[in-house]
Amino acid sequence: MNKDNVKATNKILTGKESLTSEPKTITKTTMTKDGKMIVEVTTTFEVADPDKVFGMKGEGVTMSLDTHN
Amino acid sequence: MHKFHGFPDSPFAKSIKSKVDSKLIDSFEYLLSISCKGLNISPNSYLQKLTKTRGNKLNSLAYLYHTKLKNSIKEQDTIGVKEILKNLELANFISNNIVVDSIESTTNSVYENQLLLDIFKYGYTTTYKKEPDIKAMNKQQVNFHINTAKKSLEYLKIIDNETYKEIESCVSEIMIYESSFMNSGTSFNSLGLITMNKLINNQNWTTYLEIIVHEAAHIHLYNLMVIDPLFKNKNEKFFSPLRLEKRPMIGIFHGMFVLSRIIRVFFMLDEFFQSNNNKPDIVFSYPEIVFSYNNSKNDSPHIEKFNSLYTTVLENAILTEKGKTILSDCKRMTEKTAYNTV
Repeated sequence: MNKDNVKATNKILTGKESLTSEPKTITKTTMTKDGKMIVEVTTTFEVADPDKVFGMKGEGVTMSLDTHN
Repeated sequence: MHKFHGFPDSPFAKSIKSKVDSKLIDSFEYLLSISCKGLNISPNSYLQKLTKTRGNKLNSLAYLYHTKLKNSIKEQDTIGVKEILKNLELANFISNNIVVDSIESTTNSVYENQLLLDIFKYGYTTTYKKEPDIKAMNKQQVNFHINTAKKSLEYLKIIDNETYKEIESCVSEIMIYESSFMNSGTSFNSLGLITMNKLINNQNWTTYLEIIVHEAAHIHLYNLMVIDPLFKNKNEKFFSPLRLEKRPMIGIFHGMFVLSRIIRVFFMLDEFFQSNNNKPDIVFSYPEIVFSYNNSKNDSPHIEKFNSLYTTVLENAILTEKGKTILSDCKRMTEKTAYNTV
C-alpha cells in the first residue's frame, strides 16, 4: 500500500457487499443511526487523469454490434 | 503530412493508425506508472516492454490490456492490475499481418482469450442490456470459416486493392464465433479486432466480404475520431434506416461512413466482372451476393439507406471542418462516377 495514495473512501455497506476483490486497510468504521456501517478504507491507486487516458475526442460508443435478420 | 479525407487511402490510414497507436502507448505508460506506484514496485521493465513496441503496428491485445488496466485502476482492483502486470511479460502487442482465427484462439494465452470474452461481454451487456451468446465454433467448422474469411480478403485485394490495404493497416485480428443472434462487431476497447459469426443459411464469402469491409470501416472511423471529434452533437437521437430504435449522432455518422465503403466495394465487384467477364484466368466466378445486415427489417437498397443517413448528418450534425470533409467524401464515394477518387 502506497501511503501517498491513502485517501478515505466512504462507502455504506449493507452487509452483502464486499469492498473490492482484495481486502483494503480499514482506517475507521462508524455505525449510523439506522444500523448501516460507514467504512473508510485506503485506496491503492490514484485516480487517473482523464486527459492522459486514451480515448475518442468526441461523444463515444464503445461497441458496434449488429444482429442478423 | 497526409490530407485528412474520407476515401480509402492506405498511406493516410497507416499514418492515422500510427498516431492512434502512439497515443495508446502514452496512455498505457501513464496507467502503468499509477499501477506500479500503488503497488510500490518499479515500472521500468514494463515501460521498457512498451517502448519496444513504439513504431510498430499494434494489435488489438494492446488495446484490450490497456482497457483492463484502466478499468482495474478505476475499480481499485489490485488483483486485476497484478494479473495484467504478470501477463504483460509474455504478451505480444505487435501485428505483422491480419490474423484470422476462431474466438478460442490458439495463438493467445488462456488469460488473453478470457480477457477478450470478459471485455466483449461487459461492453455488450452495458450497451444492449442483455447477455451475448457467443461461443467457440465446433472444431470441424473452424477451418472452413477461417478459409472463407481469408478468401474474402484475397478477393477484396483483387477487387479494390486500396480498401484492402486500408483494412490491412487498421485491422489486426478477425475472430469467428458461433451465436444465435450476433452477426459481427468491433469495440473501441479492442481496437483492431473484428469478431463475426459463423456463416448461416445460404451465406458465402460475399457475406464475409461485406462484414469485413463494414467492421473495418468502424475501426478506421474510431481511429479518425481519436484524432478529431468530427461532430459535436451530444444527446439527441435520430431515425436510422439501419436500426429499429433511434440512434445518437455517432451511430448515424458511423452508419453513413460504413455504408459508403460497402457501396464502393460492391460497385467495384460489379465493375470487375463487367471488365473481366469471360477471361479464362479469372480467379472466381460472379458470386451470389448475400448480405447479412438487416437489423431494421428494412429491405431497401444500401444506397437508399445511405442517402437517408447522409441527409440526417447533413441537416443535424454540428460538424468540425474534418467532419465536413469526411461527409462530403463519403457522398462522392456512393456516386458511381466518383467512387474511386481520392
